[in-house]
Amino acid sequence: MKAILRRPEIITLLLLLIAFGISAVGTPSFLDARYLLKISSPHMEIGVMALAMTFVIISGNIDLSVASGLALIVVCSARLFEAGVPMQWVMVLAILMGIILGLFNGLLITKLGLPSLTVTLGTLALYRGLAQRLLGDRSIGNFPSWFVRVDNVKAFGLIPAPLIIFLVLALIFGIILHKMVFGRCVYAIGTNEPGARFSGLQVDRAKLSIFVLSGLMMAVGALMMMSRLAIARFDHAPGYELSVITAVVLGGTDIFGGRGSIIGTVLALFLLMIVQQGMILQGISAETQLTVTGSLLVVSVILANLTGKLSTRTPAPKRPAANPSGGELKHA
Amino acid sequence: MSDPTTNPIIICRAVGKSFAGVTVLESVDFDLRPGEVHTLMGENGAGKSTLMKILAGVHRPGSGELLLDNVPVNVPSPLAAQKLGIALIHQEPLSFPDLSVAENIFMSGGSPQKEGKSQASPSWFVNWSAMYSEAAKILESLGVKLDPKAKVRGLSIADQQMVELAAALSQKAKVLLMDEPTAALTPEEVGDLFRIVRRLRDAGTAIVFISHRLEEVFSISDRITVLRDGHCIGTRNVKETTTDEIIRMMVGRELGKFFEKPPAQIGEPRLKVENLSSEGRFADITFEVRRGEILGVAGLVGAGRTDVGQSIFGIHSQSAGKVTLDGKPLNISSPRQAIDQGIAYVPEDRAHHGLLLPMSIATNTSIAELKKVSKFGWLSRKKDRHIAEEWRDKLRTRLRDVSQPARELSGGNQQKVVLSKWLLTEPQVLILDEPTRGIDVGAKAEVHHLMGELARQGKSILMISSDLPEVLAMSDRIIVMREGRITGRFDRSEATQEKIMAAATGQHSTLEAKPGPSGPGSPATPHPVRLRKTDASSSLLRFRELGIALFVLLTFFAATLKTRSMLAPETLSNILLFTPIIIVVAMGQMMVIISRNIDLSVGSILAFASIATCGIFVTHPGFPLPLAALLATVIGAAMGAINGTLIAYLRVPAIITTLGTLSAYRGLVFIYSGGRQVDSNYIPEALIDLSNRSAIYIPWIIVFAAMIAVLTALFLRYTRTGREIYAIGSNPHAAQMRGIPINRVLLLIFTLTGALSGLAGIFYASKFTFINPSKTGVEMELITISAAVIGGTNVFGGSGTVLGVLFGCLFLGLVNQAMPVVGINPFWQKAVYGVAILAAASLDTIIQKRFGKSA
Repeated sequence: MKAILRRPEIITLLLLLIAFGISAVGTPSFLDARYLLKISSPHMEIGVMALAMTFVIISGNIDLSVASGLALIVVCSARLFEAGVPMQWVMVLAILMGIILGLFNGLLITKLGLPSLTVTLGTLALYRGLAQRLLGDRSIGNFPSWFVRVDNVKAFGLIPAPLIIFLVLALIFGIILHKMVFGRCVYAIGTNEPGARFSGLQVDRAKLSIFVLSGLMMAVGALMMMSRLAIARFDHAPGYELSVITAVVLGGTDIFGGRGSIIGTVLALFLLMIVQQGMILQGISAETQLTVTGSLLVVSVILANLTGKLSTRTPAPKRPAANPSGGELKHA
Repeated sequence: MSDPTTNPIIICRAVGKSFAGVTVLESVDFDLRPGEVHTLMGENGAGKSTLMKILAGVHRPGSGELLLDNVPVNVPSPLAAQKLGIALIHQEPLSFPDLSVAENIFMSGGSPQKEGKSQASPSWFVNWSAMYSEAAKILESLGVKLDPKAKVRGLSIADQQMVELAAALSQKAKVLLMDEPTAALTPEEVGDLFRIVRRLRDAGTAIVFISHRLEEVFSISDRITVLRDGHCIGTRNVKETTTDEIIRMMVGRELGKFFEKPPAQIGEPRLKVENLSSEGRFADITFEVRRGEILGVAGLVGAGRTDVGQSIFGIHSQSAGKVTLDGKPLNISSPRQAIDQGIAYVPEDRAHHGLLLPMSIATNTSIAELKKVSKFGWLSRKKDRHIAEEWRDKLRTRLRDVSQPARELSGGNQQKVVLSKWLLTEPQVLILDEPTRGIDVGAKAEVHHLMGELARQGKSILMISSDLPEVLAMSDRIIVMREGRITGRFDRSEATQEKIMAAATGQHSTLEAKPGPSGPGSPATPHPVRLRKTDASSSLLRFRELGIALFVLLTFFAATLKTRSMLAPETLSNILLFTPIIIVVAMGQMMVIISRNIDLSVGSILAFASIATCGIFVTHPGFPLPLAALLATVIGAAMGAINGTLIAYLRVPAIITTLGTLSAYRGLVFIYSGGRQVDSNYIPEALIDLSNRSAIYIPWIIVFAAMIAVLTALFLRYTRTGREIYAIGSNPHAAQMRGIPINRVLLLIFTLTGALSGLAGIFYASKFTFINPSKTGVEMELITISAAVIGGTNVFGGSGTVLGVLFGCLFLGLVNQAMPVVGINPFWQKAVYGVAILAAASLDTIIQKRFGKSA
């Protein structure tokens, strides 16, 4: 029990329950599951990228380029569609593009040994810049009807497709991170990169994979957004990289790497969603909400610091007084 | 020599200390006299370092009292210890690699102006020439040839220790605490160090010394106090005791002689290395290790032994030569391949290379052989635990549970975890790099026993060790390396300490650190001159700034050639007017980055200060402009102070704090303005005029920005706080130990950055003549961080110059405004920013790799 309470996600869960309670008291319609499900779709685009970002941050890195990458993929896909490529192929190419963008980040980081902060700051500007160059102020629409409004596709007439996509991906990412060898490499690299290298882990390959994964999720997010909005513009997902990072950190993942979990990120995403929707229902403007979400992030870390201090650390074992191996020395 | 009748300078009376319920020291009595070297001995975990840290103010005693000159004192912090004249010399020197030798000597949190003696120790302002000359004087008095202006990055550990000693001397320390100062030194360097220690002792300094090497201890000490399990076992005069007695006191029983390798069946050659070379590291290395054999590799630290080991293991690349295993040529380029071939490498740096300290023992045990605990990529926690427990029992590792973090174990037990990890890979060849460094006598014997057992099983062991008795006792054959080459080969029967040292040093010298009478009468050996060439990186930095400047000019001229309108006053002023806004904010951002932090909230602060101030113009059209500027600055400072408080005092990482306030402050902008834009007709003419004209034909906001840049440069270069920012970024831990008021400095720079962002808000209103809640200041954080990165500021802190950042700002401003003029699609702009950042960062990395190999 104590071990459960010490987990960093517990604060996220508490905040989630509190936020839900306040929202429900303020607006009873909040208890209507259909409402919550209906408004979930835009958050899931942030969500899928946050899943990969969880890997990135646990490995001690950061990817600032996710939103720009998403925009670039949206723009390129739309241009391809405009040029007559069938939408099915556009989707495949979009995924491929995500891999390429992630690979570009990853190669600069592993081959040149540059810090991921600098590299992805550069590609943040670069990817958005290319998107802007490719499309300018125009927007492209008229996608085939089967492609648009994925959020209107509902399982059992209730659960929107983006939520299902997110939950399935969260399950897969959770299994990879917590149950598979690759996940252990991610933690090891974030804990001590040279140590991981000396232990024979293929650090560069793992880092490359992590950034490719991030690129892949940009593509998934891009397709989800393009479908939901039924339109492509270069300024899609403005500043979303910060929302993505906020979700991950709010979920208890250590910004310096080595610690974190997928369940934390999932909880944090729902927390952000409920806080935002709760405020919308109270008539608080979207911009004003920024103050609350920003403060929430800082407060959650302060709370985590406090509980970390309160829960006494496990005492180190006392060294045994004598040396039990003494006997073996005699035959020397 | 110490005189037993002198009054002790320090007395510890019944000092006790426990951490989280575990008693580390119990009722320890200890005294230290002026003019003596008093050594603390004991196994790891006996409490030596804790006692020393209590004296140095790092820890506070849980019980008992400290007396300094017979007066009870309280030493609450390292800074307080410094003020009392107590200085701690760390095993791994705590230096600021980005600062000069002189600054490293004088960087301290104390307030020396109170004693009012040294011009070199900055009070508020730094007197560089006085600092350099005084540093040179102190270094000379130590007999160390080091350039006070050289950067500390790249100095050897021995030299860094000298710098730390010089720092202690500069503070007129009466008590020197030296925690294993010799652990990483070559015998030659130990000799140098002891010469200085003896001189200081003879001048009346009281010295506490910790070492595991008995020979050294007997050579340098006047008295020895032995601790065991937190208890003081006793204090002996060196002249009246023997090594046997001290060992008995340390382990609580008689110890036999050194464990020796038992005979083993020596078989066929297994690992063969022929003419192996690696540029700049080692050359022409040829040897073979046979089955059941331990090949000892002796030599001084830095002789290239570790490089050879790591090269075989695939950490470094080799430029020439051949490695064969059982006659099969190997081509290894990564540790993974080495492991798969049956080669294991136990590194000397356990904390950084050997273990993942915060992770569990079970994880650490299986990390090099994950396929043993997984199937098709799926981990089995049960197998993980099972294997770890199996090895715990095999090696008798003392631990509470295998799920415990490896960090919690003592050095010896940590080493056993490392060994289990490598034995799990079932290696045929083990490369052991300093296998018993920093572990206590008992664990050491166990490791030696294990090595003997492994050899008996027919494994081949390459043992790199600086511990000569260990090399002699454990090796079947010994090779000696010096300066990257093999300079001696000995069989077990013919090897002696003297022969090995002669080969290692390249001369027939005797060990300086030999037991025997010593003191002022010992012959003055000519010490080696270690004059370092001046660090090339500072001149490269200048070169880099010049490079950006040239690039900015080139871009400008290219633009001018393409279109004359580039020179039109309107264009020029546009280019020049966007830049001051960036510059003002970037100055703050640069300071934050130098301190190893980041401020993402600058744009939101700019917007809020701007809209709050200009909101006043709407309601009070006659509001005086200087007052408005002041108001914006104060608002910005207040917001920055909130950031600073959260970061410095509530320990929220800067990136998270300012990510939060980036949103929070932007939200405030909307709350305050109700989402409405402040239009140009509300901005007073006088404010708009600041961007249009001035008495000297240059718009005022450019003049102001230039002044702020100059002030920032002066602040960073000539004030004590300015230098402290570099120190904190260069090595936060060292900054803390030196008593630099880190929290205050951080609060100050975040407040300053806020103030500058606020002021930039006024400039923004002047240039753009409107404030829009959703546009103003957006992406300012990215622009300023980019300016800093392009300008050469290290994103990991410690270095950066105003000049570089200024050019970075100019470049961004130029791209921003010039592209439309020369007919390049403005949509390219962001892409160009991105490429510039990547190019600048790549260039820096390449330069660093080429020239400044950091330690």
